[in-house]
Amino acid sequence: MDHILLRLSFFERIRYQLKNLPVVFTFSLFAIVIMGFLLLYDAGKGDFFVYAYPQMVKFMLGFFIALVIALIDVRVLYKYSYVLFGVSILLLAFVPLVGHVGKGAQRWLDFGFFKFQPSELVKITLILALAKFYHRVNANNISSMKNIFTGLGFIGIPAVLTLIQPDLGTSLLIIMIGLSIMFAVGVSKWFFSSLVALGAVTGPIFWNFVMYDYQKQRVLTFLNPESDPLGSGYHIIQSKIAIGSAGFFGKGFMQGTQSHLAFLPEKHTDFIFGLLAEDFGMFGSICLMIFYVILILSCIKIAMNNRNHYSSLMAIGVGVCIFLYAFINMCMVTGLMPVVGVPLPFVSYGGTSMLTLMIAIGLVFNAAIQKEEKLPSENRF
Amino acid sequence: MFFKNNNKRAQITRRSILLSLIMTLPFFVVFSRLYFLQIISAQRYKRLSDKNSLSNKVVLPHRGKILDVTGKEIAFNERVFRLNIIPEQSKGKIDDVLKKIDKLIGLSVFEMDRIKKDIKASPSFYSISIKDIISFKQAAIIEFNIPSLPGVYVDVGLERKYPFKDIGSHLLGYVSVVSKENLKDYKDPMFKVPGFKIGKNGIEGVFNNSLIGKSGMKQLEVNATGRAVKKVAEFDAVDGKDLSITLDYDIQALVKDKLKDYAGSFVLLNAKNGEVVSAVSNPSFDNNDFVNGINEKKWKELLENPKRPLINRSLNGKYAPASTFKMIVALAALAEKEITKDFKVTCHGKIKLGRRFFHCWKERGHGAVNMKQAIASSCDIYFYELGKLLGIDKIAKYAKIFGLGESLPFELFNVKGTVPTRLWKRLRKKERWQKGDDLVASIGQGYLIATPLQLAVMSARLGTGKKVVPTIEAGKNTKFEELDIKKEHLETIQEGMDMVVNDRRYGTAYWRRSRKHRVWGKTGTAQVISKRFHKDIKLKDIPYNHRTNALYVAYLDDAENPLALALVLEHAGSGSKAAGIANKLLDQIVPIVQAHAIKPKKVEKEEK
Repeated sequence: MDHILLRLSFFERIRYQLKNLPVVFTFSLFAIVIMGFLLLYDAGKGDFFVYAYPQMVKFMLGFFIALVIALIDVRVLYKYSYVLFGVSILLLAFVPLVGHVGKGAQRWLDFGFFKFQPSELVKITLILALAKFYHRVNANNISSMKNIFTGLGFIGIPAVLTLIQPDLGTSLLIIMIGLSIMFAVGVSKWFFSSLVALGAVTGPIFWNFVMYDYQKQRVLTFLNPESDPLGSGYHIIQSKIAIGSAGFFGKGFMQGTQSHLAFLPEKHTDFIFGLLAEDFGMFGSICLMIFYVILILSCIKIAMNNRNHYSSLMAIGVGVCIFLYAFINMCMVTGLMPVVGVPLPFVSYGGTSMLTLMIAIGLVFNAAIQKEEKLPSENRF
Repeated sequence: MFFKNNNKRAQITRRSILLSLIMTLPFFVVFSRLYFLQIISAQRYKRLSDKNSLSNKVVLPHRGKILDVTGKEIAFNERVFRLNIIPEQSKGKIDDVLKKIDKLIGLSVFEMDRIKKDIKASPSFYSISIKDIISFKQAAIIEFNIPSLPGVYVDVGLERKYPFKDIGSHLLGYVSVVSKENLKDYKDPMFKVPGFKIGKNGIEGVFNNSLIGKSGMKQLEVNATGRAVKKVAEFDAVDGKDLSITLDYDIQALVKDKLKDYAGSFVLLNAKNGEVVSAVSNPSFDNNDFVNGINEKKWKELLENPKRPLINRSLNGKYAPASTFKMIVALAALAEKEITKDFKVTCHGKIKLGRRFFHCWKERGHGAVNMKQAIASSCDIYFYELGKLLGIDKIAKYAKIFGLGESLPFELFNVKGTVPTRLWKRLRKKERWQKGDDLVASIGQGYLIATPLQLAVMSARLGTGKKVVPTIEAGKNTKFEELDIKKEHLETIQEGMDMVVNDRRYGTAYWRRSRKHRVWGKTGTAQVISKRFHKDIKLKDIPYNHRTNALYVAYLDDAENPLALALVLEHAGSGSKAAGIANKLLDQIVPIVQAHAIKPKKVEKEEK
């Protein structure tokens, strides 16, 4: 293939490659994003320019970035994986020193013209770094002590750095994304079983010594939201009312009383699923879930179709990432999980999460387009 | 190397399939959660959601007016102007706005503090009252300056007004805010609206249910901060019904003016249908003072006034009927066949019973008098003899026939009064009935107690021979049954009453008779304490509280408008004085009654 491409001009090459964009994957992505626009139009009380338009602009920008990433030669990506990871770790470490304090946590880097969350970026670069690392590990040595601990090291550094910000939710997300890549590459099941056992032992210690009061409070209100109906439990109760009162077909577009009358909190960001469930009922929610499942399974399919492990692992990492975001957010809004501040991917209003996710989408595009590429130095360890 | 490589690829594929499952199945958890929330518990959450977003605003009904017999409004709702401000719309210039209002219509420091406190305490889109009642002129000034007063607006409220103020105020009653203790008795949500007023007593109280109407409801959609977003539904309030009553306020005003120097009561009935044409109790109070809660000073004045203006004497004043009771005794004697109308007694001014003398009011005595002459001259000795013959129980039987000693079946509460019997004294006073008690009772003193209303009813029944029942609701037109009294007996009594006013020789009211109408009547002078203490002293030298009560009952026999009246003047002297006042009043009242009786009743027609 390479030689064919090399003979083509730059734009012809782009056109050729973009023809190979994964159809189902892109279609489900657009379906989700359009649902998001509709909901943001609703959240803006019928004003297009409040949320819907800015979100569209962000998506367009993100999609452009995703296409650019898709066209980057995977070998370049592979080459700079560790560098990118290193830089994002440095930024993350930089946050506690100069970070902008928001909602009790230093998560933002303020660059003046825009604020930036390194913990978002590190999720992507961790996927790249782990993919590169496990790409190079010999299949027989994958479950060796040395490699497991190196893998855990990759995960541990950003996890600890986000934990001390403190941002428990992101920290756990990073750990789960990292572990899922280790799982995908075939690390022994014994490792994961013993990890579960370890979690059961350290859990109580974690609760008592590591977790902050507001985090404990969230867990406690989650377990019994009615105990504090006007305080921390308010969000969960109002969200459940919004969802429950909608029934199967919902109250109709723009007709949700809970959201329109401002009972539903954060209806354009973290709780936008409540808005969806209120307007379009169970029917709309199931539709959205189906699109997510298609999107996630497409990632896996792209991973399976790709010939190099690096790209496969990258696509799997992104799939897991989207899955975790979507699932955790839905659980949180429906009251199955404590409120942890995870947005609904591609739907929630917000620049950082859209940008991060579109970079991730770019990686999947990259893996889909350049599925025949070979990478050097496999099985070095 | 290729093999191993392939091995890793196979591993990734296997784990990928596993991961696909791991990442798909959790969505079924979300699915079942949604099923639980949106299908199983949908009804519950729907209820919660409605409660969240709908706010019911009570729409108050207009209270019905009260109209007198000529259709004059004696209680109505007046438009009052209220000055309000919505702080949010003042755009942060609230202090300037308030200062401007102060300049325009004047605000006290106290008011200013209250307004500022209220503004701080409520959401900024809530309307805050600046002044509850402002005059039309003040409202006009504010409206004129409204462009420079952002957020300020004038709205119109209704307030109950009683234009006749202290005339007939007892009977009319007043409205006032619902007291917290009574709140649970009412179901309609309007009663819980702060400041909502209900009829507390008198006609306003008794007819409250029909006057008040039913509340409506405005269902508003509100957001989480309580701001109304849109109207969902509206149910109109049902306004209260107007009430026509039988009182004639032209007559009321006339009577009130005549009684202004006295403590007492005047009750005038239309004997044909029992309609209360006039019922005045003096002194009285201004109902309007009570509508917004009476101020402490006025309340104290009313409480401390020795003439006790708060008592409705017409219905609840307790008086010894004195000589006005003599007709009952005479009738009892005739009906019980103890005597005939020709029975004569020679009055020497006193008789002896046991060791005690019982005096006639006329020390020299009346000489020999028959029944009619005894009634006309109010000879006590004659009735002492009748009392001796009859005994109290027989007298009581006839007193009850004429409406004494029992609460009358009237729309408004009225006290029972007392008609004693032997049993009554045994039970209540724990004493035996004495012969002397018979004598005292037979001249209407002692334990006997009647209200002016009862006396007026008695006089109406004596005049018509029918069981007249008083009423205050116009247009009832009840027919009354005949009393169980022989007509000839009744005629004897009526002739006696005629002589009271129109017989020159015997009549106690002859010199104060009506010159225009032939009135039958009976005077009464009720002793408040034993007469012995104040022998031969002029009235003005006796302490006010020891003076006798002056009573007069009368009946005007007219085919169209027979009238029965009772007048009680406390500590005013002799009954003939009351007769004079009452007869003069009648001269003025009769033409009014006749004029108003012809007039068609406006309100009834409107209702049809």
